[in-house]
Amino acid sequence: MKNQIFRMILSIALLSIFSGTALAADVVLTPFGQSPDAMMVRVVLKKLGIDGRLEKLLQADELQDEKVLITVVAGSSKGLGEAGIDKDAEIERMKTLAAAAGAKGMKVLVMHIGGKGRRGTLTDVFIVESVPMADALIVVEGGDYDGLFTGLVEGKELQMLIAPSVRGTSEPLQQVLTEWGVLQ
Amino acid sequence: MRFSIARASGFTGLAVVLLMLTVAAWGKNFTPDIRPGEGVTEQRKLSDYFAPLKGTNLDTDVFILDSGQPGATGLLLGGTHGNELAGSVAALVMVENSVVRQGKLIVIPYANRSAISMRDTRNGIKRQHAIQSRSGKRFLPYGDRRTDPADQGQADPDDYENPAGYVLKNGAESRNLNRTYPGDPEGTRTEQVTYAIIALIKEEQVDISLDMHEADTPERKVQTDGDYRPGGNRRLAYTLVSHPRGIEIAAFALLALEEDIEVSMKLEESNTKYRGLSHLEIGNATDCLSFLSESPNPGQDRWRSDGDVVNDPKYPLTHRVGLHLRLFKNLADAYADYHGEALIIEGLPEYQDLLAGSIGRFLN
Repeated sequence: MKNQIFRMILSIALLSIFSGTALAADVVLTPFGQSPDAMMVRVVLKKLGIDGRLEKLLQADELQDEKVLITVVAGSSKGLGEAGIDKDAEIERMKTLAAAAGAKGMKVLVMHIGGKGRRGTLTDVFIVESVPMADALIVVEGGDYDGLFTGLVEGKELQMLIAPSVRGTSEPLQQVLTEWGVLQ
Repeated sequence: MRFSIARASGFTGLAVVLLMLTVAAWGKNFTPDIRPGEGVTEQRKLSDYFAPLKGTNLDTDVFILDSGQPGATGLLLGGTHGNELAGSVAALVMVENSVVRQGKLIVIPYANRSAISMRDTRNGIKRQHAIQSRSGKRFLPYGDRRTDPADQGQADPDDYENPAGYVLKNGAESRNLNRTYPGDPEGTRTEQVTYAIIALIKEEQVDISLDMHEADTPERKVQTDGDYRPGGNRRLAYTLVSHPRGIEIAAFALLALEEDIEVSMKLEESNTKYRGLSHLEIGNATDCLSFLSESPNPGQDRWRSDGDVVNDPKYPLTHRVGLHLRLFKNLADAYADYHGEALIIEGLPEYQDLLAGSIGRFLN
């Protein structure tokens, strides 16, 4: 029954996307660390009726007229290898991109959706770099198990929302994207 | 005295040879116990897709469940590694319970039959696991990761260059079925098996495949002083690996899994530089969208040799089997949403029903 409801919601979301009512141009996604987690967020967005453009190696000059840049943080050595870049190049790409997004008046949403399983030395380097770029932060439970995110946002006027699961990021995403004018 | 020692050595040698021959013969004659349900419309052999496998210990059963109605064709692979029990048992549950109402389903419960005919060399898990099935006592076989050297037909090389051109430093990996894709008709027996699987996928025009695996659990051994022993968790369990072409469908399937059974799994994309694995090579060699799933198997934890592969309280076989089956269903559903071709399977137990008792309730 639950699955039927999910499929119904999914069908409606897909239908709305393909019928052209989706907010296609408002959101652009890119991974920070080259893990596939950004694809998971893209699918959550689709369920919300948002067909976000996903570019693994999005560059500053490739930003269009989007309102929001979403970057999903998780380090993947394999992903970096596939992309032919190292961690320093990835950090540099994201710093340049976030600065360009800010200059265009875009909001930057940083997400970590992999819980404790997607934490580790490489990911933590990216997390530390990503938080200062964020206008808002969504973290799936377990991702902040050691208080890393909490420590990084301390003293800053930065909204950090905790989601119970990847699917559960739907609610905080809806909240943030509504505040930022992407969703009505 | 010297004569006696020589004679005794001779007897011992003879006994060892006889024992080896007996074990080899037992392996050769090993036939997995599979009891197809009413949904199976045709039973074939992998050698039907590549004749040289016929009569070898690597030929294996292929079950076809055809609705006769147009739709998607799915392939479910279990037993790529003989020591990854849940994949084989999930395939058995599928073959023994399900009826396909739309599209076609092909199931291979023991993709590497030679590996299941050997004892586990990693942790020494026992060969047979007794369960109470619907028709009485039954045994689930637990095997080894790789093809029996006796079945391979040649010695392991020092380095193994697989058919995709990737070189592995451990020559024994030439007997690892999931390093030999896309196979080679002129290659080793193991490479011939993967060649036959690819031939099957092409001939049957398979749209979507899931190769079901197991990995060590996320647990670590607690020492007596309460500290943890490192190295127990390689973070492979609870992962779905997708060919790059299938990554969005995989993401949909994982979100649906959270919705259905409240289990989160990690999404990974095939590493295109690490060649020879099913999820990459099937998708490269054919039009099929290929995936690989990993469940947590206590029998694969290196820090313990007594992992209970059936009744572990945290990672019971029912949980692991349910995970693979639900994932396959969700992949098929997502494929239908994207491509408009459905594979509709009825008769499978729900995940919660599986968890409510023993696995034998769903085996004939």
